[in-house]
Amino acid sequence: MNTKKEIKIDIMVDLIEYISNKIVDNCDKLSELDGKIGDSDHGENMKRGFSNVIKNKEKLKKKNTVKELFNEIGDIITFNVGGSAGPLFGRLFSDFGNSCEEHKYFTIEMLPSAMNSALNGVKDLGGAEVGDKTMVDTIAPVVDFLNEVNLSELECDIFLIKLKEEARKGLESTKLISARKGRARYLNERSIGHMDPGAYSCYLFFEAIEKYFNDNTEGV
Amino acid sequence: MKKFINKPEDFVDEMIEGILKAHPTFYKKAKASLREIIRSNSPEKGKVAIATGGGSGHLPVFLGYVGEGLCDGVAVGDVFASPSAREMYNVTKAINGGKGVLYLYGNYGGDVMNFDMATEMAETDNIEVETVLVRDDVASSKNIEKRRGVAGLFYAYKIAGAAAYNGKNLQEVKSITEEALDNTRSMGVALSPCTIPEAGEPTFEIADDEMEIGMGIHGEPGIERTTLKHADEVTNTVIEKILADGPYDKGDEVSILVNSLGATPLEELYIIYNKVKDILKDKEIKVYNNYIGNYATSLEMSGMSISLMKLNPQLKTFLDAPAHSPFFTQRDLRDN
Repeated sequence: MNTKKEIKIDIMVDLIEYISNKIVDNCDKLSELDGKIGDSDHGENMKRGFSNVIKNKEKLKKKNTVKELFNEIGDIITFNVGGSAGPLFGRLFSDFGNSCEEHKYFTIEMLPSAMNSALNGVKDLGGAEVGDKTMVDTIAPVVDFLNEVNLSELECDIFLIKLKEEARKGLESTKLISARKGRARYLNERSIGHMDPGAYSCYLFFEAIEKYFNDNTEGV
Repeated sequence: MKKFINKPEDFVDEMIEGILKAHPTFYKKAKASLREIIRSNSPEKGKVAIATGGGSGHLPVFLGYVGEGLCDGVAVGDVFASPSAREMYNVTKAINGGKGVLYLYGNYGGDVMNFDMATEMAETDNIEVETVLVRDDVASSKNIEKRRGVAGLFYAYKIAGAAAYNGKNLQEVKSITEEALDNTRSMGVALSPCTIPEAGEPTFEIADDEMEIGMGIHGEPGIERTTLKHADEVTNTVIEKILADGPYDKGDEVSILVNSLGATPLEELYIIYNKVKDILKDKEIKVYNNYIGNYATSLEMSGMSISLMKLNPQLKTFLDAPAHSPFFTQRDLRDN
């Protein structure tokens, strides 16, 4: 694929809206997962945050740079979600943007450093590492893949499927382990057997990205 | 789950609506949200404002300590979950009387992240914000920086609130509150779990004949789970750990708080106090005053916590200053 192809701000906002709708649509599923090992409110909280992202769509389209765009999304999420999820998901988006600096376009070439920055931001803020049964478990395999792969050699559709698969692999791994971070850690081994709801939300991002570009034939 | 609730998801909002209906002259909403509650006569010009916040399920913490001589506003989260930065920010703006705002709350990850975000937002509005974290729970970590805030929140609110009402500036209120907290240690013992309405299941399992020493107010694991002992023995264990950790020496004067985690009755708290007083007498630590009752709870968890604050003349003055909220009232006990 052409890793230098420029994706404009309004297309990015369109994609973000698509992802946000995916989160909103999965509200009940997320809360159901949270009910197993937490307090059943992850879906409602994420819905509140991402509905606000959708509500601010026109404002987001006016952003001049990728960094400004993702910083604003991060702020909207942090501001509205509450709990620990608000600041952590907010940081994920803000730090994704921070690595994109003043670019007016996004390119696939920028994705590895943006995802590394996002992952590091979340780890710094929440203190979680791989294996703690958190959103980090979904993102880390994606980042590992991006760090190793030669992007220009991959076809776009294969690449997007691969991103989703790596995220899924990470998500599934949270079923097998007991929580060491977040509220679920109080359950110790009783948290084994259930997927982490934060990790599931992150997986939904990648699932949505793949579906978005599949539905929009132009691709990347 | 056996509770007097309607829909679990309405638990927090209906509780706040009830409080607003019960005390309409005392509390009001900062804007439109039920999760942003301030004192009805806030903002007060020329006074340092105090904002607190955290998850629901701990009354009188946090909303109950919004009052005269206490805090000015509170951001209220879902049960055991941090409120959002937006709610904290709206409270901050609503209570700011031009002398700055002190954020005073328990050291929990979600609360810290959201209050820090609210601080950034407030500072862009040129509101001066300082933060004091309450981390009095001896059992939660060996490292003081990592400790959680439990019933010591009461002492923090009492001292900070009095300092602010006595015209101290933001830096002074902050340092006086930090001094009070340096002198404060707490530890709890849990006997049975509580159930978060939206989760529907108890937060932890514990056998009928067991207790957990040092368990946190959200069911965080403690330092030891053993068979339930007599009250005197349990009290002795807790007091020994508090005294070993804190700055308490022979000849010191302390205030004592014996707190129920929700379901433990006053009768048992007084059985505990009976022993606390005797132990301290043996150690030649003088008890200046005491607070016994529901000060920081965890829904219907049964268990108790003991907190000690070592006093000096200034802290005594602020502790004795009057305070009034629908949940806590104290007349002016200062000499003069």
